[in-house]
Amino acid sequence: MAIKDTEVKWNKKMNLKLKVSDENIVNLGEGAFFQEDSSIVFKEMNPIEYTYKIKHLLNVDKIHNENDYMVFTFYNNSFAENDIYQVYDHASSTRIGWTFPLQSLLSNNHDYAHNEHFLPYALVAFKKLIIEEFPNSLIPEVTLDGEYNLGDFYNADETIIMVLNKNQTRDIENFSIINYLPFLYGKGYYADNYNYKSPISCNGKRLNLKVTSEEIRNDEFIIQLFQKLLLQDNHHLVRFYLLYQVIELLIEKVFKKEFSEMLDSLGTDEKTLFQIKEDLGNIAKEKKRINKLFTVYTRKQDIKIRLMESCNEILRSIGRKQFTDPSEALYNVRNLFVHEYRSIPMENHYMIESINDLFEELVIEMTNDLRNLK
Amino acid sequence: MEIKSRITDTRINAENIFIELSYKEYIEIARLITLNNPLQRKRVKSSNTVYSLLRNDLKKGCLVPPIVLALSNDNHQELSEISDEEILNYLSEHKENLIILDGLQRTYTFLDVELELMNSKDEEQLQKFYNHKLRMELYLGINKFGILYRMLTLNTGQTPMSIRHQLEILYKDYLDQNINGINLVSEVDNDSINEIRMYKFNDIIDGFNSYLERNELPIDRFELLNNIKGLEKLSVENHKKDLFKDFLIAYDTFIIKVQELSDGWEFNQSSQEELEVSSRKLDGQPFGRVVFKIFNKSQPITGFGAALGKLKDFNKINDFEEWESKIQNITFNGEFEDWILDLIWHLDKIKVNSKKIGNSQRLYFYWFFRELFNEDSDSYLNLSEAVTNGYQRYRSQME
Repeated sequence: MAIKDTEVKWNKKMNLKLKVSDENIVNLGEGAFFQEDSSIVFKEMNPIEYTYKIKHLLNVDKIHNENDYMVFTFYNNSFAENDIYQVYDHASSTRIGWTFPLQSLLSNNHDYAHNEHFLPYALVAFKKLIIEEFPNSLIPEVTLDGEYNLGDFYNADETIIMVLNKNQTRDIENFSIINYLPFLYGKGYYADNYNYKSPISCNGKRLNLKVTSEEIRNDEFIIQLFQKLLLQDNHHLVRFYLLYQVIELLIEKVFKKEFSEMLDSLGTDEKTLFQIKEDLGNIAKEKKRINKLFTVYTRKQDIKIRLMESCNEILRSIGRKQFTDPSEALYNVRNLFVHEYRSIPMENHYMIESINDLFEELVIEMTNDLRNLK
Repeated sequence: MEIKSRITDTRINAENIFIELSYKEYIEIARLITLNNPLQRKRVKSSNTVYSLLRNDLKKGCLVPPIVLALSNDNHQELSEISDEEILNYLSEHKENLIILDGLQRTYTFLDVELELMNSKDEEQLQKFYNHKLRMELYLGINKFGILYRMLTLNTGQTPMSIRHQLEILYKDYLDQNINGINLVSEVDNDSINEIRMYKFNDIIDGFNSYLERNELPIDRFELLNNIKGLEKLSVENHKKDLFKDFLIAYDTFIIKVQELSDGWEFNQSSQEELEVSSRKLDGQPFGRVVFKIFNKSQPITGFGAALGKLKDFNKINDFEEWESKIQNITFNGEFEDWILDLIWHLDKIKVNSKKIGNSQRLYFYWFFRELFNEDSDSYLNLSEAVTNGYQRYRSQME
């Protein structure tokens, strides 16, 4: 094969592997991209020359430098091949890339197979998935003709790809994909490949990424929650507690905020000791802090109402008081689960799952909806 | 080169010739085959240990199992009546048409050892190597289908060839040829096929493969060739016919008929409006804008193949010639555009919702053709009914 000047060589061994036999698994050697063949070709010289080829199945039109891009893999097994979206950063309204199922790299049947904006991103993804190490890669058996495609090395039934342009993300302060994990989780882009809760859901042609609020952006628990903990197969109580931990985290911040404001005002307001003690007592009360979280420090209402109705359903089912305030309803359900789980009949446990689904939705919305909590 | 034995294989109507020859003579043939036939040029990385063992054994002159070859032309000579000498001459004259049915990897090993010895400049060892003997089994067949059957039953090698690969090798000489007015072309863009009666070679191979496998889906390349079911199907086919050709002609006849019924129909602005009036707005481009461009794609061709195969299993049909006469009786309800817009709409919905669009479309076409050609179905020979009922069968299978 003649070497063209459109050849791009990487002087490193690829991480992908092939299975020659049960005992013999080989690494692909050094590879190069050949544009005329739309393939990455590996040559092994020992003992004699063998050539392997991984073919890119879409057209190659413009070639962008893959070093200008970041590629991420997400997982979900419930999607359409046509779930191809432009990715925007919601806050700045800038387009930063594309997201698409791996399946869309293996087929010409979707709407973007000849789209001049999509195709360069598709090629970047193809190259990066071969050169760099990505989780959950497969090891195919050696074929008679030495030809492979990307679907042999990654599971097209559940892998979703995101390609972001560094030139665009550079303009976003301290950009990191981790900052979008809760939002992405809510849209069906899961960080790992087990327990998919919902299908990919995106309206229209765009995925508008909402960033986690600054107040909790670097919190390790929040990151772990959406990267791992919620993905596991959890008992409904565990799931509730995990989600409630977020509330605990947030109301602690509410306390600090309000306490700090109280301290600031001490010098200026004329308050008696009694009043100060009462005020302090109030901001310490869990119930009050949750209420403040729901009404002052976050805004969106719809999900809170639906959660309240779901909480009321379970409370009603065991003859307890109903609530008209979402934060109170949640707080009471929390107490019910902690202190009186045994009072809930087994046939009503499905209600706990419904509460959890809505609670999860609320927590996700809260992660990017916090205001004035710094 | 010496012919040691000749047996006529009456099952596939071919002459099996057992030849003893030197490594040198075989290497000459092998080099020609690999040079001329890109499909037989591929090699696989086998275990290093086994490979080096074989190489060393060959240098010492071990006897490898007979390599099996076939001459793939459709010559009608009565080969059983020809003398040994004439056979050898015939072989010499048609070396480029030989294909290796079994022993491709061994052949590569021969070539490697020759190269190694030539590079080592050990003339004595090289000559010794050249003089060792091996045996070759040659099928002189007048029928491609018979050879295909024999290839499939023989291929128990370590890295088996897929049926599809073998079909490519076997039928490669139909490529870029005119068959009854039909043109098969090599890999090009779908857009470049702008004529009726022109098809991509690979799509027809896929379709024929689907017929043999009774399965419209692209076959997993890693599936072993232990397809007992497939072999059983093959064994009941009439080996005297060129099934591949019959398949192609039957499908082409179908397209010609529908194109004729269409009276020049084309998807245009008014078609779009017609769809929107019935609340069916397409999400993207229509699957095709004229009849032949809808049906010359791999999805309908493989659906057709699989459906016909299945109907044959149910004894609803006997051979392709029977199909061709039925095709003439195809009809539709109402206006021509009605049923074809239904088809386009269904294909669009599939595109929006499916996890693997191509596979889903194939499945839909499979049900469409099954409905269309099954005399027990309500949609028999009725395009309008087949489009609708086929879609329902597709949906119920997907759920």
